Amino acid sequence: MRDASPVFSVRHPGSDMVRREIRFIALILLVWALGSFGFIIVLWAIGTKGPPVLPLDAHGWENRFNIDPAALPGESWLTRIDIIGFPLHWLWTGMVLLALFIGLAVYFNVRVDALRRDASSGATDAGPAREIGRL
Amino acid sequence: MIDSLPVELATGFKLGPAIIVGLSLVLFVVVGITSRVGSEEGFWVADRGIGPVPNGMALASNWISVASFLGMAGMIYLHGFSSLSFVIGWTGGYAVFLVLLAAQIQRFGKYTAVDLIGDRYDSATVWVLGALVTIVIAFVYSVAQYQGIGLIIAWIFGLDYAISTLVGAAIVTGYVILSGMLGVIRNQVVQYLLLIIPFLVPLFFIANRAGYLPLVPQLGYGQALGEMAHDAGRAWYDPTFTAPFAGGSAYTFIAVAFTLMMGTLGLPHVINRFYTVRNERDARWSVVWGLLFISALYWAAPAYAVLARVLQGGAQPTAEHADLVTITAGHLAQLPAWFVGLIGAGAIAAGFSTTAGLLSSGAAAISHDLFFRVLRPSAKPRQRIQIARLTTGVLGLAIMVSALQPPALIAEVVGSAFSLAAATLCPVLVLGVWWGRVTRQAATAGLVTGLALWVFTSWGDWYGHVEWVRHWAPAGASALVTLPVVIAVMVVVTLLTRAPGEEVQALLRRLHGIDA
Repeated sequence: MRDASPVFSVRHPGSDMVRREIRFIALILLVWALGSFGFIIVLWAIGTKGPPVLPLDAHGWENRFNIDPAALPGESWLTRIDIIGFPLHWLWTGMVLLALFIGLAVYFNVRVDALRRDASSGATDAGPAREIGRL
Repeated sequence: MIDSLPVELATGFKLGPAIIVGLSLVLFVVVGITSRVGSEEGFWVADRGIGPVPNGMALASNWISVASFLGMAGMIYLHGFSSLSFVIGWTGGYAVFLVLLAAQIQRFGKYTAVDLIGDRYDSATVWVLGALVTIVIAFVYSVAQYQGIGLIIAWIFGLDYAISTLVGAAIVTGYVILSGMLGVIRNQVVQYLLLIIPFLVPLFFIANRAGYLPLVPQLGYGQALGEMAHDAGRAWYDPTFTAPFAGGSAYTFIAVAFTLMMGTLGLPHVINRFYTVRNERDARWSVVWGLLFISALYWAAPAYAVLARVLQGGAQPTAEHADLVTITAGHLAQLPAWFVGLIGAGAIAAGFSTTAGLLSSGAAAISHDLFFRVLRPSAKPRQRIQIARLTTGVLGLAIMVSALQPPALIAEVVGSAFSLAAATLCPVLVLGVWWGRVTRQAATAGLVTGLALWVFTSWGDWYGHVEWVRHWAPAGASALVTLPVVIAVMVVVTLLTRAPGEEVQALLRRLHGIDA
């Protein structure tokens, strides 16, 4: 049933250059996923369990001084760490993660630029013919 | 996002803000008219001559909507940490977009998102379905923008909401018709400056008034946040604000962020932007610039939320104030009225730039993808531009009519546009670009499944009140459930159907720069 021509895929991209690019992509997606979701999962795993309480009604607002912070959902030793005033989880999510996304984008572009330069000078990529011949 | 204006902000004509906004509107129209184009390349893809920095600015202003400009701070003000899911959701998708799609879209070198999937799958059915999805996304997204523009014009000029919406809609639709993408991008560069300066500059003065490191308020508000979390001696003490899941569960946080990120990969007005640059390197680097420019606003939005809470002392935060908290913060800091008006002008710029991008992509889907590619392939270029201008006008009018009587839950409708993009164009594009085995039948099945799931989850959340849908796949955050289902359907159908031939493999090698 399959066509005779080699099928492009992540496993068989048909070029060493693209194969190396795919490794960068895998690394970036891993860091992206861990940074974005892994941290939240850790917060959930070690934090206090309970239903959301916001938004507070007028009575809840008046009584906020009597709330035990440790009993609020997601609170843990991690959320009590402050850095330059910020609770750690806020600093990570609202500040550092955005910088991480930018850093990942810069890293990817620098590496791909280098790959393209190498490929155009013929240093690393023997071309599609060699790769397709392996399939 | 904005359903009503706080009473103290809603009435009267405000001269300073009116002059600033009036000048901004004149500037948009002048830039649009002076950038008027006559060619098809110019109308749709700005003659493919935009550099990475201006394209990054255009990406940012295209992205930063009224919802981001005003609503982001408002959501954080009301719900605290849990609303940071929007901050990472509206930025993290660009990192994924960069590595999976940016260069490939530029190398494809046509006009629209639907061009790519239409050619990749070589199917009129995929073409039509893709165009329909694009139109729906552009439509629902734009309704909220028109509503936001109408509310801000109403606030500044003291006009009736309906008249304000008509005025705003007429101007934004007019300049897209006149100028096409070249004018839109030039305007979006101007609009980025007009939205980011009014957003950042007042923040220094607000932080100064509140007494928190005014030189770098994006860091200075951390001290206020710490006091809010730990210092019960402060009037603004509220430990629920920083508690991770006090405003929503961990699942909801992840579902919102994931949906917004994956939706980014399927939004047509974002995808179209990558046809406008000179080469694939510029496409990649414009993502970096775009992300940086977007983050400049998203780093500052939480500061507005926290400083507004500090400045209002022990008053309870309410949804009414949350809608316009960036403007409220300026009032609370006792900034001059004209200075607060700058923020309003910025909000107008944000609404205009996003709406222009959406209008362009929606009109392209009707005139380019449906009319020319499917119905009338023999149409001449001049005729195509005329049809494009006509469809822009018709679409703008239809959106304006909807915005006059907006749905009750605008924020959820905007979120549902991301859910739709994440369940349809995102998997069809990503799998299509990275797996040569995916067939046209799989793409059709994926688009139909994604559309059906989106309709079902939207109905189940808003009308049917289906409990498990509201919990696991709410309309504005359903991709965590729907995207894996669509991918599974596409994989199964692919494996059951005949693999595409050499033409598709050659296209993919070109998209990845192998045969370049």
